[in-house]
Amino acid sequence: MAEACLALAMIGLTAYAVLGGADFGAGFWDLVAGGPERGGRVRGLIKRSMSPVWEANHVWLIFVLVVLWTAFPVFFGSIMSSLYIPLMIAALGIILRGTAFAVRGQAATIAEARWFGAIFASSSVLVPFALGTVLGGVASGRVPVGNALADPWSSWLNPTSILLGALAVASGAYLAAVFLAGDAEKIGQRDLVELFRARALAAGAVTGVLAIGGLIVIRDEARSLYDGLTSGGGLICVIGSALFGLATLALVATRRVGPARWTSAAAVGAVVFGWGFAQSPYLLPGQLTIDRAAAPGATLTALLVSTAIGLVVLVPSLAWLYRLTLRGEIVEEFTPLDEKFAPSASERTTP
Amino acid sequence: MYIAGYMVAGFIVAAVYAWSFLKGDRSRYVRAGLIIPLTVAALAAPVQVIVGDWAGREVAKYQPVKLAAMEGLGQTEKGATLTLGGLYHSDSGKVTGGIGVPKALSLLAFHDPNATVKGLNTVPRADQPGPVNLVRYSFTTMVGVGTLLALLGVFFVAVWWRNARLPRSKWFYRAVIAAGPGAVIALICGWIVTEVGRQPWIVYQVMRVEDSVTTAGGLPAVFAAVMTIYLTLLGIIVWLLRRLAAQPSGAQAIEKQDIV
Repeated sequence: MAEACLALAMIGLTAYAVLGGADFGAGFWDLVAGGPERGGRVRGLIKRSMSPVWEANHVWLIFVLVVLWTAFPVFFGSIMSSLYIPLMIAALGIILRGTAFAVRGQAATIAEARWFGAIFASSSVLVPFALGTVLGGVASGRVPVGNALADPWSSWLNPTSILLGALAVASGAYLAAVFLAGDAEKIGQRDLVELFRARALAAGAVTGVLAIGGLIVIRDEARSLYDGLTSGGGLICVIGSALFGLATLALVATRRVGPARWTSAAAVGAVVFGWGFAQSPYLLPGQLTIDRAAAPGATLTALLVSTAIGLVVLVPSLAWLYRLTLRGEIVEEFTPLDEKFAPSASERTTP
Repeated sequence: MYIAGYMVAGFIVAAVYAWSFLKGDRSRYVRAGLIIPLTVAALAAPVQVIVGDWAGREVAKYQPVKLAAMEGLGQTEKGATLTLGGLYHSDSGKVTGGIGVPKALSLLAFHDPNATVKGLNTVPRADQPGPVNLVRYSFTTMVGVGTLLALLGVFFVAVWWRNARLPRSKWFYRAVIAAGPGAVIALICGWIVTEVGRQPWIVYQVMRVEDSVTTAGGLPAVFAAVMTIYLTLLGIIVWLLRRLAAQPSGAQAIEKQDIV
């Protein structure tokens, strides 16, 4: 039963890594889009793509947190109390990001839009980095079992954490570029398709290099995790991720961005599952196994039953939302963000 | 909380449009903004009275010390008196200056005038909530305001039912304006009762607050950061809402005609 609960958390984490990651990645491209005029069209596309889904994607984070604290309270408590600094940074970043994105939609001047856009975009990079450092702290065995026993700084400012933080940002940017290229194609913005294709290839290459580099760092820092990733289920996932990643690059390079969205998601999802396999049967490497961390049977049963009931509502509604979004059926206007504040064409011609 | 949420949201939205209505705007937009949330709140209010009664009896059964704090009941009493007003004194365990209604507390808490209601003295002083008067007055305020809101809702529904129109009295609209913040006050008071009334426990009679708090450093810094962010957000939201309010809305521009 503990395994079933962990599987739920892993599915949630994968969904968040893919969907939430792409969401943060869109913010990354907003950040590096350039000045208001040069980046206006890019930002307009990002706003159009993100508006229907940016809140829904965070359902997955909440889901993961709830499953973990209910099913594995000791594990959850150890992480939350030890890694409270990056987790607080992530939480505040998520709040600022959502607010700034929503408020930017109501901005009256380009100056206001730039100000809120900067907050939105910089938090979009900060949050996945902070969450990645948390995973790094756990994976490299820096979180002891108990309340706030880890070093508050080195537990998340260490080679594995920094690397996983960078990987989280890069993989999000990579996913977002693939998805945004797909969206640009649907609304017939050829120049934006080309722009995001190039970015998808670059970000994909960076993500791949970071992932391979990550293995070398992990080999020194967390030998058992490295062994897990290079044997059995872990190895299958790593190879699968590499193949999906290469397939994505090939699809993007040959201008087939539609199917590339699925392979890019699979590449990122495989890494998350590979990590799960590599750490098994430990939640905190070398210290806390899944069985020892699990809550009593009654709690797990209640969690599984209530999740099943919740999924009946959640899955169809999210599936419908993503379907509409991926097919481009949610009518959302494309307006380059800088033009929103420029006098409109009709006003310019009328004296 | 669900029902209370509908009440609070309903009265807050209605209060905004009651203000416009009093200032003379009788457009369809303002009337809809008044009628829809008021109906929701008016229907939720009587349900909340029933839920509140049920919740009160549950507290009496499972958290008797909290109930004793809510009512300022120092000693266990059979056929307990409901005391309104006055001040509770922890040393004597008595309320001075209040008005007593014999047997009413037993009746409310257990639906039986002769039931025994446990007092604060059933646990040592260290296990009793400190600010009993705060809990007590929060509870009184919540119940008092909640009852007034329910009456306001009943009045609105009755007038609508009998005459198919909005009430004419200006005082009704003034009351709706007051109901907006009033509902928030009742809600906050309810939270004070729940949280302060449970002290010193975080899980009633299982875990004390001081045993549950993390030993991680930096709590004050985190607290300050969270406060700063939320106060900033509050400022941004007020700024944004004022801006949105200043713009003429589309609905207002199109339908600025009275239909009744």
